[in-house]
Amino acid sequence: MSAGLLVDAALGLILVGLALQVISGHQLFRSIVFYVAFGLVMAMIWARLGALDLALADAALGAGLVGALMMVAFRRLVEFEPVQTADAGARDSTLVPVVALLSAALVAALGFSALPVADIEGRAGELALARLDELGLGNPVAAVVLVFRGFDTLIEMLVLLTAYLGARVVAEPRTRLAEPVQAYELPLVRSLLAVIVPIVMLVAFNLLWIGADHPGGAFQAGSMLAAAGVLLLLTGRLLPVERSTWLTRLALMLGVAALLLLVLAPMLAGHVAMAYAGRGALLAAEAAMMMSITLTLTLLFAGAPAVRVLR
Amino acid sequence: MNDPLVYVLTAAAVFGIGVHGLIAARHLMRKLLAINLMLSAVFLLLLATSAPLGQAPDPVPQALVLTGIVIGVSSTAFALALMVRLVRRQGHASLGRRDER
Amino acid sequence: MTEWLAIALLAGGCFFIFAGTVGMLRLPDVYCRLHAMTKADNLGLLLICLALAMHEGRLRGALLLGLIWLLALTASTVSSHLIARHARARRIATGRFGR
Repeated sequence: MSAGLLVDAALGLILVGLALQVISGHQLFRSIVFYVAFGLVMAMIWARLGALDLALADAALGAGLVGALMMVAFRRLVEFEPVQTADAGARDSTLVPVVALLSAALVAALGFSALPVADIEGRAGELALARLDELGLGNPVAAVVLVFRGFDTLIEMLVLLTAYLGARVVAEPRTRLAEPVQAYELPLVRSLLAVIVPIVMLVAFNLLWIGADHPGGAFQAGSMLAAAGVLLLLTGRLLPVERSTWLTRLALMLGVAALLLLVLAPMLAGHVAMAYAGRGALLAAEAAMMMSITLTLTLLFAGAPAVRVLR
Repeated sequence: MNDPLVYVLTAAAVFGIGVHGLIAARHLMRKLLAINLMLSAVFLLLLATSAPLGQAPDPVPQALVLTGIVIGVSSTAFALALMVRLVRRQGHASLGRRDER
Repeated sequence: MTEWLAIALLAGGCFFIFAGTVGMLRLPDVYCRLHAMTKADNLGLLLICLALAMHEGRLRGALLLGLIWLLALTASTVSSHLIARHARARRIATGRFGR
């Protein structure tokens, strides 16, 4: 048994243990905290599997942003109905473990049947890797996201926009983020912001810039900037407002628009759709996507149609 | 037994736990957490089956999972907004009637 | 030689993080837990970063690891300060049965 396998087994066991903690127990808040830990271990597993792009995205989103979203929703529920939210046990049924075991067995069977596929020649990933040199890009994931499967990414940006619009439609006009924490004028918090926010922006723009050749890109950069947005919202530097401006709406749609342009512009020039348009075009599209992703996730957290800067 | 096999088993276990949580939990937010567990399990399965024996993982499933993570977060945010609205309207945070929760 | 020193530092770091975790699980109230966790964990993280920097052996990697440690230090300082402040504002008492 090698040391690497031992690490993998330990990480897997920790992940399963954390998942069990998420669904068990009576306190909902405890479940949310365990879910954040689950996301962090997940990011470590991505790093172990060599998927650095995913480790970056999952550490910022799966652990950070989902946890923060859950805690804000929890706070709103506690304000509304303290008793039931604090105590949320499970219902008893003999059928439940059976269904769970069967679905676990199904997933395991799917996994085992998929493992031999790795040895087959001519997988999509191999094709992508083989044609990477033609594009002059160093990061195969960026090539897949923006070139080989650009159409998928376009639709995923549309899903992101739709989720945001859906959240706007169902949000009650009066519900907004509860008043920011009273402590936000503490000197320590001020210096934390002065240190963290510039570094996060530096890292995010760096991720965007190197995304074509190294792990990084619009999704990771956008999630990091959204995390900074959440920090600014929590400390009251950004305030949710009830009316959005045309600038906000434009920025929300910029990602979809840029990808549409990336997909359709080659057709105007007489090529097929999604023909490779060069590094500059990719970088521009990634920058637009980063802006949209950042703004969408920040506004989803704020629960408001727009934010403004505290003056 | 090689490395991806460990993660296939992990993904299966986490998926099963997620299904259990989804069915057994009463509180809607815990159901949402369980759905997120299932989502992570599917991502893990996708990556584990495409990264045989310590090679670099296949970029296609990586790209799919990368966009999937962002979509998962946004749909979770949508579901949470829906849940808060539902709780305010019906007065309790479970499916079904209040007395049978 | 450097390799052995790195291993020793790594072991020391693991010990301090382990001690911090035990402290967080076993100590009676929120203030003691913060005390155990912030001090022991930050020292443990420093030792681990030092060990990794030695193993890496390049200035760039060492500087990046130092930056990681500083960022973790900043975050843990501010968050434990906020937790302690919140606990005091809510008048959460000290002692084993304080809650």
